[in-house]
Amino acid sequence: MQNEQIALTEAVYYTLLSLYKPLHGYGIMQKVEMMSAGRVTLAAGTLYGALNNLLDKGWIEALPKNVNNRKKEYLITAQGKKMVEMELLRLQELINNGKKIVEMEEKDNGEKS
Amino acid sequence: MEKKVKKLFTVWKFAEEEQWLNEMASDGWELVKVSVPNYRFIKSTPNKYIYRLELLDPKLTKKERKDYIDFMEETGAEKIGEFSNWIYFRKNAELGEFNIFSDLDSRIVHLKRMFQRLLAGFISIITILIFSTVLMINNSTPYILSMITTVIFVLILCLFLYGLIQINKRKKELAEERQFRE
Repeated sequence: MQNEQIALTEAVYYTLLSLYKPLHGYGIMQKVEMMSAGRVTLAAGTLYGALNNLLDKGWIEALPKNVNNRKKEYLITAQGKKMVEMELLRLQELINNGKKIVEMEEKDNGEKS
Repeated sequence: MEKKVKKLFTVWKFAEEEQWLNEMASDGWELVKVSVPNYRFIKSTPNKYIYRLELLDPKLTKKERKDYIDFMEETGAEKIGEFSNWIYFRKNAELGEFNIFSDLDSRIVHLKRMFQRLLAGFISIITILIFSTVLMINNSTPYILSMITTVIFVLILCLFLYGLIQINKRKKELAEERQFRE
């Protein structure tokens, strides 16, 4: 499964990123909105589904509840971090190839005119 | 001031139901209680709340169900009613936009859940229909009575079938869109 090349959804990608430090559900929603400067807003139902899937896969873990903290907090696991790193490589490839083609096109157009 | 409204929405009209509740809210009628088909509203400031409906997975255990509703409430939503597995949520509009789903995948899952629920109803009606037909033949029920029963059941069946087609159509649209974007 580790070598399987998969594209993470935006909800999953941002949820994983936000969990490098422990956070509860609402905290994740706020952090993701902040990180993306308001572009990505995770709705609670979608986030809940994503969290459960990530727990099942073992990419995140639920921290035990303590006295100070009534709300359930989550944290990314080593495997989850690995998935983020793989995703970064994939995104980098997308950007590089995209840039290459778009810039070449711009250069061609520049020479013609 | 209070207002009671009787209104019935079928499963596949849930978006219309949601829209209606939000239109009522924008007219200053705040939904406070639902026991289908009765809706109770009180007069308040227009647009105070945003209303959203969700069909929960019927397979959820009591604890899982409570966990989910608690999670929703932690994010500022409030459960104001339920009808079988439908939950009526609302959120103060001052807290910002309120949606339950923010991507196509979760919307498709929600539609699938509705489809399965309706399908279960469809299958049980067919079963009842077959059983009652067999019974009526054996008991030599008056012809007219058995005809009426059969016609009623077939009509309900057609309605369910229509609903299944509607939900499936919507699901397909989203799935096609999913091939291009999230």
